[in-house]
Amino acid sequence: MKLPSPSSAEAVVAVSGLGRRFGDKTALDNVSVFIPRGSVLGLVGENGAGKTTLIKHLLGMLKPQTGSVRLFGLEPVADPVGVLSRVGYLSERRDLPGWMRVDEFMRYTQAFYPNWDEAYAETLRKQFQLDPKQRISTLSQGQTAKAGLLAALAYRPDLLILDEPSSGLDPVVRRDILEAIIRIVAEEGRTVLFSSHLLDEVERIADQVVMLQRGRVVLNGRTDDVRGGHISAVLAFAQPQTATPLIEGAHAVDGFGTEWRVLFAGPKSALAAVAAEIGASVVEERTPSLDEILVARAGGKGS
Amino acid sequence: MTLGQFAKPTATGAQLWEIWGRHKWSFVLQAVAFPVCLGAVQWKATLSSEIGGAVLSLLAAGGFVMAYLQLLMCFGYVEADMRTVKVGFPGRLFHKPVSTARLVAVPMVCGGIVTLIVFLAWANWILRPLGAFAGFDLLWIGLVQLSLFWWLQAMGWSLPPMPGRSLVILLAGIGHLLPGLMPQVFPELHPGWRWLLLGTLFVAAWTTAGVGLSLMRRGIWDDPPRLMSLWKRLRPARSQATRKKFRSAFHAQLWLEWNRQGVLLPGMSGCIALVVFPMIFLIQKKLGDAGSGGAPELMVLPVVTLVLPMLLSGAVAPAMAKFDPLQPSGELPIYIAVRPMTNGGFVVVKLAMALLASALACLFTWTTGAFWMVILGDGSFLAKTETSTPYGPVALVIGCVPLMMLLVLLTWKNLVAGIGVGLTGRRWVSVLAGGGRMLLQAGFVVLVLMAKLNPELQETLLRWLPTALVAFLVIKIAFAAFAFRCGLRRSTITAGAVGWIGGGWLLGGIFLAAYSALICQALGKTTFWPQIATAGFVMLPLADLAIAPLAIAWNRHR
Repeated sequence: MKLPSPSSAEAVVAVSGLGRRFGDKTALDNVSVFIPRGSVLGLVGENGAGKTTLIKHLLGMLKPQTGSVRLFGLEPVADPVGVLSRVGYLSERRDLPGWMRVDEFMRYTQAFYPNWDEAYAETLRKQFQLDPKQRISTLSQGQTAKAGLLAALAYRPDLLILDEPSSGLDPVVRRDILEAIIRIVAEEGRTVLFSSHLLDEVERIADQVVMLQRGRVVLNGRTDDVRGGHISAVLAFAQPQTATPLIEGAHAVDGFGTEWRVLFAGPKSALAAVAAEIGASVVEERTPSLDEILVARAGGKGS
Repeated sequence: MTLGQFAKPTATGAQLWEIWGRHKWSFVLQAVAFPVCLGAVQWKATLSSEIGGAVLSLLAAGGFVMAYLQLLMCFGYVEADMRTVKVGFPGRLFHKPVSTARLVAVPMVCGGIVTLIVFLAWANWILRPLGAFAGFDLLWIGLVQLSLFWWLQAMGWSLPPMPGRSLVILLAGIGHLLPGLMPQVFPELHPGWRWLLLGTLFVAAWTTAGVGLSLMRRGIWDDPPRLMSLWKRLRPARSQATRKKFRSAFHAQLWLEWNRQGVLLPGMSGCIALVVFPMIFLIQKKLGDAGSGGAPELMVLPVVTLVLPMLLSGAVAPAMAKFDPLQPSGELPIYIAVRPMTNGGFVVVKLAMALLASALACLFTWTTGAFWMVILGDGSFLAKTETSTPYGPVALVIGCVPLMMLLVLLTWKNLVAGIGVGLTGRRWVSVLAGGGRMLLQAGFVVLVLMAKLNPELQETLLRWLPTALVAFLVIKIAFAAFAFRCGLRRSTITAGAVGWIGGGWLLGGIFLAAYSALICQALGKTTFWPQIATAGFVMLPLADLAIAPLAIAWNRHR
């Protein structure tokens, strides 16, 4: 998997050896992530895996306890203005000021960003069907997400960070939001980092995936490489197996009797060799989805 | 079986258990505070020392205020919803299979009984021996207090989210002064009329709570097009005007701060001036004895008018350190934290907002006070000033300008004095700093009282006062310089912001020094001027403001 290195001059985000603890709980453990300019990174993991904590470090809302965080070569804690003026952010909690009206929120946000594109903001507002006079507290969940996204996009930030942008939204709103993201990536070549539970979204638009598990990076690579590096296969045994067979390199093993489905990390030849070793044969194999990979890894089954 | 297990089987029990569970430490504190203060009062009766007696009285009176406010919070039964920006009856209870009458009755009956008993106990055994409520019928005051409590509950639950909501609640509270003082103000009135008024207030409070909650439960307040149609019709002109872009991030943030915190002080102060002043005037006029006949508008109103914003600013100050009053913790809201503004920039905006709030609060209160003096007085206020001062009304007004500036400055100072602590967004820091400040202030009061009684101590203190003031000033400047240096090194503040804050402090100090020079000269006590001028510089906040950017940084980058 070819990934940008810490020395890469093109890395918009460079997180190196980041560690964070909250009391006894380790939220992030030696996390290193590099995002090259113009790429879309999908941050995936279970609830509590550390996705939002990592994002908060990128925004300077949390100070690294170990390691370093740099955006555009700047430290977000040391230079919040330099970093935040180039970052658009949509919060997972949709933490917008409910007492403001949509147009007031737009005007308020606009004042902080000299690059605010009024025409683009108006286009997005119409596209998202937001009533400028409506109070944010009375917007639906989907409309609130759209208002937040509008405020994050309208100044055309160099880096867009979206924390669970489609969480809790209906398919129509999700589609609107995804299309907006795809458009800015396709038309403007901007860098995007988004976290999501919905891995079909990640597969669709991310060209790099980072999977966190209990604060550690367990997968980091190009989306195709990550998927290509795993095989979902059905193994057939000559005799029925009474216990779950131990298969080296498998992240999940499920089934009964003579047929067992495994999610294997490695090349096809390695799977065949492992199967032969335990007296089984590969009867079906295909490339798994990211969803299957996450579930298998998070489930912690297999070896 | 625990209290919770015993109480929860019924809906009423669960509601009561929730009040208990959420506030049990408040109740425990109250249970401890009452015997402690009772003991203090008993002890005071046996003391011969005037100072000791004063300190114990202060403790007991302070204990009552804290206990009563805590009770209001416990039984107020309101919750804030950050997303919908609503403060009111806990909406989650609307989905429970419980009648609206019961939802209303449990906190009202339970809270009413507890507050009435607690109030009467404190008033009878603690406040009365201290000299309070002399000549008052305690039962009557207690029942008026009960009405006030029910009205606060009813308004807090039933009023829709609308502009000026908290002011309406405040007015309902202040309005209870009148029935409370009725026996004194209208002694000739038949008691039946008083009881009728009180009964009406009770019924109206319960009806308001019941109907309001019932409407809310049916979602009527969630239907803004119907409810707010009139308001919306009035809005177009304003919305056109507000569509203008903000000139800078500073102006945008100032607008936000003003909307969230700024209106608080002018609103409260103006509201009190509008409603309480005429009441004070009428009550004073009624109660005024022959010797001070006609004095109220000359003595009471001008003084109260002048100092009201300054007195209220201390109560409003904790809210000033927050970015959103509904935020339960002092944590910076994300939508503000991610804006590209330096931490020092946020502080400068807060200082500017506080100055604006102070100026407007003073202006509004003073204008309203003057209005009432003209309307309710016998028109002789200005004429009387001619006999009270050798200069006449015009000179008096001109002479008042620096005094007014001083009061605006002191109001502003009260608003921002604790900003450095509050902006950390950490409750334990605020509690520690608040406790330390209270101890210091109490120590200062005790020292002053002791010095008053002991001429030797007084002389020693006066001898050391200039040195102590200079030492305080040097420590203050050194601490501020250190904090500014840290801020500049960590880029939490810009050199420009340091200039604004430092320059502002210097200008304020020079103004105070010049003003005190004028006063000293007029009183013929110029020897005291250096001390008073130094005290002015010591009093104006600088260290607090210097640590404020670091405090925000600590809050923003956790």
